[in-house]
Amino acid sequence: MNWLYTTLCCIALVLYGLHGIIGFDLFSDGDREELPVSIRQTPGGYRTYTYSNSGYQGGK
Amino acid sequence: MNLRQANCPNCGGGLSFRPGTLMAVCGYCSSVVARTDRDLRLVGRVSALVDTHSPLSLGSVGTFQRRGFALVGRSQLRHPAGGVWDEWYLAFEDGEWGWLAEAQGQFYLTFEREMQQAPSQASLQPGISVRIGDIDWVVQETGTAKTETAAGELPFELDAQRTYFYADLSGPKGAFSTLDYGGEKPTLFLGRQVSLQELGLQGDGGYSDRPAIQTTALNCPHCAAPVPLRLPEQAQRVTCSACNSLLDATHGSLAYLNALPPARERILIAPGTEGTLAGLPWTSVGFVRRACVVEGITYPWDEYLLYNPERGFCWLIESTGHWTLSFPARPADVEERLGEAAFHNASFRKFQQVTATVQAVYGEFYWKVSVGEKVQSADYVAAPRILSSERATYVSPDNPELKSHEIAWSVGTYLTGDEVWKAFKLKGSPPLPQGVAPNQPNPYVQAFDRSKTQLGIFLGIFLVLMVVSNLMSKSGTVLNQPVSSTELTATAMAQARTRQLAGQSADPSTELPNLSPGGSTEVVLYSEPFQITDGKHGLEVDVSSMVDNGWLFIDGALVSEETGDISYFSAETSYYSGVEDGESWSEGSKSASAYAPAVKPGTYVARMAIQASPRAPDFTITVRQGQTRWIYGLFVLFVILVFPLIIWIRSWTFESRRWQESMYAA
Repeated sequence: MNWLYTTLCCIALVLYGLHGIIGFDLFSDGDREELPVSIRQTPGGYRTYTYSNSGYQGGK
Repeated sequence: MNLRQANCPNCGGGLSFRPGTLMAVCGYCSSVVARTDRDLRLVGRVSALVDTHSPLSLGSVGTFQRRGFALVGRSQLRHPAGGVWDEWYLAFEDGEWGWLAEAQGQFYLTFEREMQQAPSQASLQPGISVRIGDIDWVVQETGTAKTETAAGELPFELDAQRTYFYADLSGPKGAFSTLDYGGEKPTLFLGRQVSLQELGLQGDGGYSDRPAIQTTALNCPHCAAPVPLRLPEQAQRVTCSACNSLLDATHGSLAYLNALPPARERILIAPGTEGTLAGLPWTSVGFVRRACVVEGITYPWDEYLLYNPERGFCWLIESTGHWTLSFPARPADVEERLGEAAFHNASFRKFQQVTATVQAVYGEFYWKVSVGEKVQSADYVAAPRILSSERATYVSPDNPELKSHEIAWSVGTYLTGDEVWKAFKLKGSPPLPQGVAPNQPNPYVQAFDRSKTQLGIFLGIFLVLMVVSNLMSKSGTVLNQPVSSTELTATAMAQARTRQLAGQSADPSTELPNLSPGGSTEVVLYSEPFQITDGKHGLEVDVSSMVDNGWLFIDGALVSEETGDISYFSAETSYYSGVEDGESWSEGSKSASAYAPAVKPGTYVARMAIQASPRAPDFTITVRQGQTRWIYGLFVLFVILVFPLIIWIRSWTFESRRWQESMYAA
């Protein structure tokens, strides 16, 4: 139990340290993207590319 | 030493008197001879000494605290609980006399001392504290004793039939004293417990190591079966295993007393079994089953009397599969308080106070045990130790004048059944422990203590990492832009018309557009450009709205036209309030935060696809760079805390189970 606790804490702290110091993020892939070159080369293209109606997401 | 030699007036045998010797017992004819101013006077005769297998003998010499002495006299006194104890008289070379009491293998050396005022006999109750001089004493035992016989030189006038009141007191730092109320005025004898090694005994007698236990056998007077006696010099009661009779063993032979209920089936360590506990060899000599009744329920437990020639007696107690090895403790070392007791700087919490009744006996005992014998018992717990007191009253069946009241303390340590089985090399397996014993060590305490250290270390590292990451980040606000509902509405209308012109909408609106999903439009806004300089850490997007009884949802992205980096986020605020049955209520929040992953440094705009209901509110969007995910910090904190928390809960549950059985549960 003790070794498991130590191991888990060490892993968690290392990951947290990497996140805090060099910005390592295990779960950021889905929230980050790079525009395709074709979109980047079209003036204002990103406005169209990132435009999407996500539908109902809020409210009571 | 100024010795005066004389002859016995009865037989002419040699007698010696030294300063302070008031009487001498003739070694040839047992006559008691008193020394008067003019001559010797024959007082009477005494019976022969009972062989108590004492390691001491008359004539030995020794030193105590650099003063030489000789063992010159001895008397034997009858205790109300049965049996005799020896008192040896030490004539020191400087003329002082010492009293060396010997009982159950223990030695107490005392000296007569002046006492300003003696406490009254009635005030002396076992367990209470009395002050004599500058010392606080605890009354250990009071009673009436009778001098039986004597030998050698005596520093007092012997009356072989004399009974007198005495009180044994236990003092600080091992001090021991006796108050003797047998004379015209009470006498104080002050000293402490000593070992034979301390006395440095030498000479013809010297002292001998106590003999190892040698079993002798007598026949049972009831069934004639052989009855082994392992402690023939100390046994007061012994049971016959053949007919289960309780026998009196006080007079060198066995006498039938009464039949006992069968108890052999549950005796796990039979008398005669040898084992090693606490680093010493022990022999099991007796078994007592006791019980108490609490709220109509009988709780029995078994006690095994163990004997070691050097250490005397101790008890091995078994209750519901839990074991405790218990040794005598000095009353002066114990301080009883309300609900607790202190012993050697350790605090013990009161667990129970019961009347314990002997239900069965088997084997040999140093006191006159009988079925039905009762003691008032109290237990105090500091696992794995247990501090127990027993208050008992003994009345001699032979002489009702002889009675004693005593308090006996013992301190025990928890043992597992496996440890006992291993110590005595018993066959089979020990009974499975049931429930939690009063002094059973909490198996989670050590783990919790250990985890506390680790917890501190990990929390420290966590804090350091927080500080370091904060120092290394370029945290700061990079965008703070208010958006008015007017701007939002205008944009929405413009976008609706654009779509209408493009033929994307069949329902053009000339009024304020409904931004809700039920409506036809979702407005998209772009913020002013802003600079992000920290490319390693994430961004925090805060939305603060004036939403009232409605909601605002932003599906957003931070977009770089230079690098093509996009970092998505979404934030929702919703706030509702009203009055119902005269009471106002509210729910939700007018502000929200979202985390956006790190992006490369550069110029960005925030793209916001906005939905709102029932109308577009004013809101402000704020973007801060150099942020870490707080959820990660919470997760690390959870990992660090969860194991100690689990251990603490299990430890707490264990203690709860222990104290559920206590009369003094909090």
